[in-house]
Amino acid sequence: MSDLPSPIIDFLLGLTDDTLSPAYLLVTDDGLTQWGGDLESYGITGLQEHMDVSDNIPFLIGLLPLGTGSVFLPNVQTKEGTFADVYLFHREQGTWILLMDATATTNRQLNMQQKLYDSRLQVTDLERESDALLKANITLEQLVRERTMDLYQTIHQLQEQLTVRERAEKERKERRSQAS
Amino acid sequence: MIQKKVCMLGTFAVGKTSLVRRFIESIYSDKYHTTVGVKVDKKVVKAGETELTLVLWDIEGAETENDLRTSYLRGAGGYILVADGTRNDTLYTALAIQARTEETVGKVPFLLLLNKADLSEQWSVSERETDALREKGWDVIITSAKTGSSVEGAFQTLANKMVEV
Repeated sequence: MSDLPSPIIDFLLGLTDDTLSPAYLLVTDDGLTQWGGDLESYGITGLQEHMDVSDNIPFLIGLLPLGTGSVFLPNVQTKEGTFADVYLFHREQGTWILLMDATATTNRQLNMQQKLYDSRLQVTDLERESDALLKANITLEQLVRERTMDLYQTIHQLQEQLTVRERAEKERKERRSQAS
Repeated sequence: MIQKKVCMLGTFAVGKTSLVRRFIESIYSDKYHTTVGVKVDKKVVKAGETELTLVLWDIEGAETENDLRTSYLRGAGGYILVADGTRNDTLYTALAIQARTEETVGKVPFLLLLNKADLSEQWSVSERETDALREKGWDVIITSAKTGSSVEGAFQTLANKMVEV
């Protein structure tokens, strides 16, 4: 940002302050050393010098000491309905923890993601129902085949019985005509 | 008191948030609410004689192992992989996420939960698949966030494993 004119830099800083509610903590080997900004908006209160910050801020458990390097944790829910983008980075003073409000972007993402995943789950349900219908159809077709086969056999048996009876009737009639 | 960070991992809509809600608050909602980012909760459990605070990171679902934001895993003392027993593909996503997680945090205790045991008529993960994982030494637990079946026991199992380490 160094090549930007100072009014722009000032404007950007003002914009960040107004819209992103920046808040910070500085942690050293002696524990919490400095803090400031709008920490209360993230539900972070009751801080004391030299305290172990993870006692008050559970999402920092396991992250400190940071060592060298930096960590970015997007969309961390810091209290009900409030999300922050959290940056941890090491400088000569110690580990800085910077929080910037991400509630609006998280909520927008939530709405889109909810719709997307709801529709994916609906597709899965439809696929499952389609599979069940396909299996039921296969079972039905098998049953129809079996019943048709039964029916053919029954018709065949009936035809045989009919032939036998017709033959018997014919013989009976022949015997009767011979007798008369 | 010992504090251990535990990450809840798996693809979307497998029941990670529901399992945490069931464990922390003993409540369940049928309505699916997606998670963006991460929600952190705490619960104190006893593992033998040791009191332990589990710091549960309910992390947004990752559709593939590459979608997993590994910065969330930093400092994890253990993790719980969650798959939906009625959606077989979610098991394979969980397996891929496990490999990615182990690359990131190393060999730390973990469990695999096959959730939604209440939907037994739609169950699609075979015994052969779960047996194969158990033979590899994995703890595979079938849970239902809806009924609460095996949920408390699962978190307790992980707590015990983390204390033993």
